[in-house]
Amino acid sequence: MAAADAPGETLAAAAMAVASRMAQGATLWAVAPGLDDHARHVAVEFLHPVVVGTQALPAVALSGANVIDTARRGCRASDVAVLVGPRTAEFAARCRAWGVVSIALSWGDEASTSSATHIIRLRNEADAVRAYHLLWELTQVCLEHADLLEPTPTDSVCAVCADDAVLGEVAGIDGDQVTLLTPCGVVAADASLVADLAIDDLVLVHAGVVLGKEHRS
Amino acid sequence: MTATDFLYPFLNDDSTAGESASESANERGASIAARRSALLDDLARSAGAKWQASMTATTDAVTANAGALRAAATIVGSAGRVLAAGNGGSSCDADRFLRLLPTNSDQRTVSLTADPAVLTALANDIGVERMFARLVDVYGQPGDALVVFSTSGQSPNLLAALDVARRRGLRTIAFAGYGGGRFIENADVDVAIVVQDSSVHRIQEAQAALVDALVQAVGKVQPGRATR
Repeated sequence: MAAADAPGETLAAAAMAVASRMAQGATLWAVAPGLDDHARHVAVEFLHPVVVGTQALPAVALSGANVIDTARRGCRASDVAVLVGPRTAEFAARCRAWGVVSIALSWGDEASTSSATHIIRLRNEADAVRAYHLLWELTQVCLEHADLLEPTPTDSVCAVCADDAVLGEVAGIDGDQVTLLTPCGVVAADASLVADLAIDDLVLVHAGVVLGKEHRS
Repeated sequence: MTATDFLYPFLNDDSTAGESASESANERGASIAARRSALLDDLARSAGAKWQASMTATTDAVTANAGALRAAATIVGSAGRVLAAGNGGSSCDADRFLRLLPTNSDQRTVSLTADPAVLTALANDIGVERMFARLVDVYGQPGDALVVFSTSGQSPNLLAALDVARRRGLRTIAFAGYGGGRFIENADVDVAIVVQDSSVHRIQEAQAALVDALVQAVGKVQPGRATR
């Protein structure tokens, strides 16, 4: 691999996002479906760093068959998720709805379609360890430049009531009215256009109206 | 000096120091955005260089360990059960090895760090230094193999596990960085796979490639195995 192919730029941007949120108290969630050893490695890297004097940061590895259910109980809006592997698109979409910033270390076809906030494309599984080590190193450097961290968005307009359609996750159903988890928090929306909604479905919502189910393969 | 200066020493060259106190808030915002952008450029360049250096070091480590990898593949390929262990990130490397290992219908693998109930029970009651040794005693049988992963080659609980493995008739393979530490010239270690580096991260990146080479070699000595 030529140096130009190394994912330096995407790693740096992702590290800035991770550092900016962790400086505000975010917890890092690590997920690697079918490759749980990578998730545990990411979490221990941040929680118990090998370099003396670097910051120990709150990180949790999620493993097993029901990572989405477990994450829903643990993740707070503005937390951070590091997703490793070729099968993380579903989790990345949930992160959107929960307001969680996601970093996908991906290889395979999904890398091009993932809705993760930052996507770091790798050639294969063998690059993963190198990629999350560098993500950790760059995050630590960003944390030491506290004045350069990205500001938390203020005066933001709620996207559910504004121009963008966003992903929401159904948290409650009362006839045609639903309660949704969205990037701007818990909102009520009209679901009269969509039949057969169920709790935990991902939907597209715009201006307070559920437009349809978000089908993911 | 900050803790990561040695990782990215160029960042001490602060050419933006001494900004005017009369700077307006907008100018200050623009200046911060420009400095953040410069930082990201520096980090991207540095990460690219490190990535490349890690790739080269990894290839060198596989070449330097060619003989050891062949010997290790023979041990793993003929073992009854394959036990693996490590501490922290190295336990993940041990689990990754077992996940990738091609197995035939006769062979089984056991991760010594798979069960938090077992590990915390042993850590609480007999101490972390004996916990892997105890598990080798419980699971290990003559003809099995124990594969341990360390970056320092100094971990007391792995050294204790290797000692018990030797006594119980297991064959042993030990991965280490820092030139091998106490895993080399050790009567309890049949094959040491050594990375000549002193950065924990670069050692683990090389060890990941060494694991890939080992599981490939196991596939060659046991052609009937299903590679994952």
